[in-house]
Amino acid sequence: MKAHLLRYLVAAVVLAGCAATGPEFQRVAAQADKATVYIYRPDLTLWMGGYPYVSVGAEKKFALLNNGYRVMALPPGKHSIRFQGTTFGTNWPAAPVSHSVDLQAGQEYFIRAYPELLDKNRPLVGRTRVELVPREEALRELASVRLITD
Amino acid sequence: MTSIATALAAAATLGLCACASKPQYQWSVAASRTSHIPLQGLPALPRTVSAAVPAVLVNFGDRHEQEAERANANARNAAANTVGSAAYTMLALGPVCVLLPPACIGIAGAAAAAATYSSYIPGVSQQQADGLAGIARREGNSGKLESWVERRLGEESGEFPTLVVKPATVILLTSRDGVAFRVIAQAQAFVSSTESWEPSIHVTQLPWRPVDDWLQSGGKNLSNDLNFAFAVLAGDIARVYMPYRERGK
Repeated sequence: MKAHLLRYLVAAVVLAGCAATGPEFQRVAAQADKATVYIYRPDLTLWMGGYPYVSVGAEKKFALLNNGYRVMALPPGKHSIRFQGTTFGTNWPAAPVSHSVDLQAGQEYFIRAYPELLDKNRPLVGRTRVELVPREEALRELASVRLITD
Repeated sequence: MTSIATALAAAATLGLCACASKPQYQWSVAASRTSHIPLQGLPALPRTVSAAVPAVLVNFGDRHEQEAERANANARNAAANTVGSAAYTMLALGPVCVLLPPACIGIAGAAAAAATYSSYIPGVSQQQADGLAGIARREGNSGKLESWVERRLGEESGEFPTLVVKPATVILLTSRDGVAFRVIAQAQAFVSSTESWEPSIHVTQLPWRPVDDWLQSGGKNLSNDLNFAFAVLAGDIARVYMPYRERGK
């Protein structure tokens, strides 16, 4: 019982935090020579106060806050996108994860990233699920998501 | 103390988990290694084939050694918990022990017995393990995992891409909660005759049950739960390999 209590207290303290507060979602015009990449995190209660940093290649881009999105224009070709947080630094207990994506110029891509529990009885054991989502589905979700501002 | 703890636990659970009622067992993937698969998935719907290897069973074999180890662990846990619990109870009941030593000894004895019982890991005999292995082998080699994957991804007849699904690995686990099984699936994509991807690994775990529950009615519980596990794993495999342009259809 004491162990459970301590675990939940730690989780509650560690996972307290913030969400994206920028303007509501707005689609940007695609550039002919670049790929337009939207990366978003739907509004979920799980780990809502924490965040991973998003890096493209070696460059750290932004903190992926709950209910937030960012849009990037990237050159066509293969890119590695990394999601990395820390348990006590950014309240994000999931292990870092990198995914490759092959981008084409003039195309739009919608990447959804969100936390997912791996053991329903252990609120700090989970992973960052990353998916390339069809446009229609993404636009439905993005309607209520806000821009992540610096 | 208990009510505060319960309230905190409930608040934390509500705050940290997606809002959902709690079913008896929530099927989910417990782990996976898929991040090397491109986010676009396969370039086209694959032909799904089953690897020509049998299901792998782990921990079902020679139970004698494992049973000896379990008996040692039980003895160690029981001794430590019994002494610790009796000492703790006697300290906690200090005034009672001074005034009423017989009552103190009785309560401490009961606490020690409870502690001994709580650390006990029940055994799995060789006969039971053989029964479980028979069911796990039959289900693992039934091709159900592969057919679930095929059902999710569709049936394609072209040569490439090909998704090779290996029959599951089933691991027998024991704890004081009984027996559970970890089920591991592996899939590998062959994009062309010259390009293949590293295999992806998908893991889920069946709930804990007493060993007799798994074996009752000809092993119906184990058969059913393994099938649920295969469906969950197939869903995870399909989610990763599904070609981008086929998603959301």
